[in-house]
Amino acid sequence: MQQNPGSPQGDGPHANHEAQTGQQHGQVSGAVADGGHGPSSSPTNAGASSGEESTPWLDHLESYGVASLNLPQSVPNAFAIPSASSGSNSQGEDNDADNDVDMENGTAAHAPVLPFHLADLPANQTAAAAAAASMAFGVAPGSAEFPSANNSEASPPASVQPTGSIETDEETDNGLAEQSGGTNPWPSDDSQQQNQTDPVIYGSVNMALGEFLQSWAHANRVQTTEQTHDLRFEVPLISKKVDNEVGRKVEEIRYQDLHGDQCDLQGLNWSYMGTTRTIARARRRASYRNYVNVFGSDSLHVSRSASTFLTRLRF
Amino acid sequence: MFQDADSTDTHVSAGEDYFRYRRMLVRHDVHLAHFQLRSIFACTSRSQLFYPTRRGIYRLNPTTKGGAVAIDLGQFAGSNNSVTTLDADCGVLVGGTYLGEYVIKSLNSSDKATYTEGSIACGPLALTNHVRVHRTRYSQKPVVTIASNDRVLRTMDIETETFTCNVRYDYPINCTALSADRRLRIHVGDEAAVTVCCADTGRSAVTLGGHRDYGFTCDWAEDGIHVATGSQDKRVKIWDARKWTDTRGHGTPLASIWCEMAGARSLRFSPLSSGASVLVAAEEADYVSIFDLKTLQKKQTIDVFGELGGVNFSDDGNELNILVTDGSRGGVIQLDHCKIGAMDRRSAISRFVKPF
Repeated sequence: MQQNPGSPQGDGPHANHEAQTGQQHGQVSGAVADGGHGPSSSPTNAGASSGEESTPWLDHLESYGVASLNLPQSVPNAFAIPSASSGSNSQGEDNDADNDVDMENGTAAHAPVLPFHLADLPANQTAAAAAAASMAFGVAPGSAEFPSANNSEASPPASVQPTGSIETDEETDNGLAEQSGGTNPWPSDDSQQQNQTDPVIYGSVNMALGEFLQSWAHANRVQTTEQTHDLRFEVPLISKKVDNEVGRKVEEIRYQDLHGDQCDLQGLNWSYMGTTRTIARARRRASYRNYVNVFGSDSLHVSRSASTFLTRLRF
Repeated sequence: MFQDADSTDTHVSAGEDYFRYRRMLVRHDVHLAHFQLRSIFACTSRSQLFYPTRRGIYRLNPTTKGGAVAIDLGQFAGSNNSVTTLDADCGVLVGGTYLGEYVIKSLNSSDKATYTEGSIACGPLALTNHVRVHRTRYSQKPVVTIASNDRVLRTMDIETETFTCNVRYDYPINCTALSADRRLRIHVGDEAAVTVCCADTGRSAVTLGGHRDYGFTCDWAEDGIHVATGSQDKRVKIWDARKWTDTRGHGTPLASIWCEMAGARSLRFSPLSSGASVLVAAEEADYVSIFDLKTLQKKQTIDVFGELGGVNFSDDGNELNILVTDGSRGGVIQLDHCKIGAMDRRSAISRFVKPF
């Protein structure tokens, strides 16, 4: 398919990509009929309209035989942008729309695409979505499968608002959007300021070490007695031990400072934090999402079977 | 669907020890301007490591654990003008910024404060994706190849600061690598295909299929034979420069190796003088894999927690430096070469242990 990017009969490599992306996405999800939007743009599209419409993520589930689940009534609107924020933040919608146009036209390749992330949602909707996910995948609510949005530090703000300058630089942003075909690849001053307090890189949707541990710990505050005997729920302590260990001032970690296997390469003492590195690694692998521009390109199997898709959703 | 079958993808199990941990220098000021661009780490010697900060480019001296700001961009107008890519070689440090500007500093100059700057491109797509300092096969003068997001690959003579060659492609170039004889250049970009082109004219010679997503890193080994490309499809492909394709024109990589957690964003072949040849692949976060280049069936895995800014060799391949950009526990991890990596362990041990 992509053998000859400079072939004269094509409209350019981006056109080929969009066609391929749309085709892949159209095969996986029948809910997105236009086929032009990537998977990350689906929540935005769903949120742009009223709350009665179906969510693309749940449509994925419905297409693979899990539509018979009795989901809560608040779940179908889990991807909607809250009306309060949409009313006061009209520029934010424009930015989302710009991202959609960018995915179709392929003009600015490095503009971040914002896939679905529970932590990006408001707190009330995140709880509903987590409940729906727990019902769909058999995960206990409040367990270690999804981070809780109650911890405001866990949400990556830079990824939610990539062009964070909303009101002050309105004219500048509009001008840039027009020049670049609807995409502003520059982070604004506001997003830079957010990055100063948040080590998450601009455009990245994954959490840094401190946020990862804190969100993991806060997501598992409520543990039943049965879960405490399960190794999967051996989570880091909420106490200040995590902060102490991650925020410990060290300048150099030599081989002798590791004390054998007590600390890892970064000098982190996992037993001090109440967990083990193996469990933390498994948790990290489960929660980390690889960024792709072509949907499904990082899957192990070629076929887009239901099992493959559900396996990806289950991490 | 996709072009290549998944039967060519292999998963290499870890378990080898090519490098051993020495130390980690914790740095909290490492700044990753764009999450897809990880060409931000350069090593010129054991005492000079360069990485970007919010103010510019910082020079770290691991031997003394000190350092200083090599290029201070604080005086630039605008707060978004952070360094997105840098490279240091041939006695020159070159950086590219978000707004399409370049900064050049001589590493041999006694004046530590001055540097030169200029504009590469203008407009909203002027983001500098990649810079690489090298010499041409006609001259010993250092030149820099600059890949911008406006789909133009530029070559600039550093001495005169003039652009000598501008080649426009159909897609933005994200990473380039020169062959050992400096005749060919391989580049990956916002296109699944990998292109091998003439280094002087930029004309495409071979187009290699196989990847499924945009490529963001590539490297050409000093032996001139092995070429590695990494893509967001979580695969690292190693190619043989003597035989790119089969008779049907399909790309025939030596191996297509499955990554651990994310796509590879930084690839480095070990120098020829370092003994056993290895390929180091740093993923977007957490995992650094070191492959044995002879067999491509063994590897050592180093896992950390945090986004990775890149990997680089120093001291002729005896040291491997890994840049971790995590804000709380980031820094430079230094590893020492074990020197027995690619050998069979049994034969290596039998060298030192007398049979009884």
